[in-house]
Formats: sequence, C-alpha cells, structure tokens
Amino acid sequence: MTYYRRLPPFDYLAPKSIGEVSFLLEQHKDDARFLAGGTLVLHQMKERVNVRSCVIGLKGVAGLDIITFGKSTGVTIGSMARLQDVADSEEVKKKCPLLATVCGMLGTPQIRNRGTLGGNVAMRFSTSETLPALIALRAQAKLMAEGGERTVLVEDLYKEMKGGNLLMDVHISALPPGAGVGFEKFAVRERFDYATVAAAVVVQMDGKTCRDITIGLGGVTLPSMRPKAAEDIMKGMMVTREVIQKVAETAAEVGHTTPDVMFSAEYKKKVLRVVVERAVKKATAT
Amino acid sequence: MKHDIKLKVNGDVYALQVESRRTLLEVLREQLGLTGTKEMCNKGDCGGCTVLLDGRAVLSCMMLAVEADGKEILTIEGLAGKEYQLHPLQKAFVDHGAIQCGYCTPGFIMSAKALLDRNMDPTPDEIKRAISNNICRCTGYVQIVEAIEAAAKEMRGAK
Repeated sequence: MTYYRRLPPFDYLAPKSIGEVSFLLEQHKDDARFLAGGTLVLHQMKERVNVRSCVIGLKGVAGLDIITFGKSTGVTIGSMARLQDVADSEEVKKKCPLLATVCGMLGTPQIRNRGTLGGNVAMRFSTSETLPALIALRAQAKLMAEGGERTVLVEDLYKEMKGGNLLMDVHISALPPGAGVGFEKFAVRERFDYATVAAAVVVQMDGKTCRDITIGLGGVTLPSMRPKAAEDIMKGMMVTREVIQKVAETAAEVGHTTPDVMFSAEYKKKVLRVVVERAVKKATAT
Repeated sequence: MKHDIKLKVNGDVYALQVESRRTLLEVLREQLGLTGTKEMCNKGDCGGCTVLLDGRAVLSCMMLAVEADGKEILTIEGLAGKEYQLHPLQKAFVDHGAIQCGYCTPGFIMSAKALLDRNMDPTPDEIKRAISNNICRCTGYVQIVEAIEAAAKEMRGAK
C-alpha cells in the first residue's frame, strides 16, 4: 500500500455540540468521517484509505470527554476521553482497574496522549486492547444514529455500529465486591505494538467455585471476541488447573485467528491458549 | 478550507492561516521554520516529530495543526536557556555520547522532558517506557537511558 507523506485535501469541521454533529452528518452524509485523537484516522488518510471530503473533528464537542462515576451505577467514559486520562484517573483505577491498566499499557505515551478510548473502540480493530477488556467487563456503548440514541453491548458493536454512527460513551457497571480481573497481552514489542493476541477475564468466585466469568479475546475476528463456549465450561465449576486448561483450549478453538505478516493463524491460536490460561489464573488468583 | 489559528510556540504567539490538511509538524517546520522537530516516518512510529503540547508529549505528524489552535507548544528550539545555554537534557546527551547521527535526538529529548516534568526521579524502566515511541536506528539506546538518568540527577540537584 502506498503511504503518502501528505494528507489529501479535505475540509475540517469543528462542531461544538451533539446537535451540530447531527446537522453536519445530515448535510454531508457519506462524504464525512469523524476525527477523535487522529492517531489512526490520519494514518489511514495518509494511506488514502477511507478518504472523505469532510472531516468532523470531535475535539470541541461539549461533554464528550467527561468521565463520570456513580456509587452503584459504575463508570461512564465519554468517547473523547484520552487514553492517558482514563489510565491516570484515580476513580477509574479504583472502580475499574482492568480498564485503567489496559489504557495505560496500550501503545506509547505519545499515542495515549492523543488517542481516545472512543476512537480506539469505534475503529473496531481486532488487535485493539480495549475491546477485549470492555467485552470482559460487559460494557455498553451509547451510539448516536440518525434515528436517535441507542445503547448496545460493546461485544455487538461489530454488527450494530454502522457508518455515520457516533460513539458517545462507554458505560461499565460496578463490579460486585470480590470480582477478580486479569489481562494478558502478547505483542512483538510489549510497550509499542498492537496485541498479536490478548485476553481479558472478569470472574466472580464463590469460595473456590466460579459463579460467573466473562472472557474477551484480542487478536481474533470481531464476532469471535467473546468465547461463550469457554465461559460455560467454567461456570459453576470448582476452579482447578485442569478446568482452566480446558477453558483456555476452548477459547483458543473458538477464537478465530487470521494470519498476518509475522504470524500464522495456527501460531496465534497456540499463543492465545497461553494468554487465556494466564489471564484466568490471574483473575482467579490461582 | 483555511483556518485562522493561534499557536504559542516556545513562548512566542503566532497567528497563522493553515489549510485543514496541514499537520502540526508541517506548520512547525514549513511555516515557522522550526526544523529542529524532525520529519521521519510520518506515520507515528518513530517519535522523531515529538513535541510537547500543553506539557504532554505528542506526535506532531499525527495531529492536525488546526486542532492545536490556542495550545502551548514546546519544541527542541525552546529548551536552551538564555545565550544558548544547553538544557541539562541536551548537555547530558552530548556528555554521554547519546547522539550518533543525531536525527532522532530532538524526539528523544522531548519525550524525556515530558517524563522529567512529571517525574524527577524515574527508574530505568520508567525511562524506557517514556521513550518507547522513539526509535534510534544507530541503536545507541543504553547511552540515551544513561543520559536521561544523568539529566534527572542534575535537575534534582539544581532544584
């Protein structure tokens, strides 16, 4: 793919409110695309991928970068909240440590200082680290579409989010006390690269028995990011080494990996099994 | 489409007219003549174009100039003190041989500056994390980490 050093010509539009965003979308329809942090969109535009004549910059839209908390309701993170701000937020660290960890280890300082949680989620790259974490946390995404607002599970975004939809925020319900979380990522350069494969796990234990578990996989195709078959193996079971191994094997079987320039799909499956096993062990503290 | 923007770069305010598609890097180098900030990969991989935007390290090649409107920017040119006295980081890079071809150096120094502004006593691991978006193809990373450690020490002493 040819990479151009200069961006193609376009008009930059800077709405100040959600109302103005709707108006601009109506006016420009398929000629526009959103710009959040820009670390992915500008890269694509230099590759001349998804080039549009208008770019709607969301930076100035009031209220989109706010992180709010409720004692019982959980955390709501505006789509324009910067990844570093999410990672540094004391409340997110306290109430949703899994997401704070993931946002703090994703990419590099420069990327996290510009990149936004909403941008990372809305791009829906299979290599995203935030998607598996949000899926494991059963997060909900609020979308603004032509017909108004609607809320969908993050794991369904791949089929629910259409062109022209604006991701407004992501909501994570408060985890019950005693819930365990684990995240593991495999990347060529740990502090720089996208996750070749990753796994996020949220588990609720009843003594040594698993009451509930959610697993989010990274580095697999979007529809296979939530391996429910693997979760079912563990629910209601006493957590042993054998059970965890079976869960990891099933997750790797269900997760659909694809080859890339560095790794074959088979190799990724092997590594996926290992990262799932480690993430479950971390979450269950075994 | 053209936009009127104001940038405060290294303490000086500039009123500029920029096209929508111009990156902050292009404006710094081509409109303001501040060529210390380097254009290398131009795709966010190498960190050569790192500048501080309101105190945070960002990649100026991956940011539209229009989005920097009203912001305060610090480039490598703004580091040296009066009468071109080198900043402790610049001095440490020279003293430790952390510069070979020198092309990546401004990016490394700006990333290190962002780190030391926040954390005056970083561990080697924290330094490595802070410069993880900067690539030196002469591969003199050990000296770079040592130089940042030395600069941090000097800056702590100076305070």
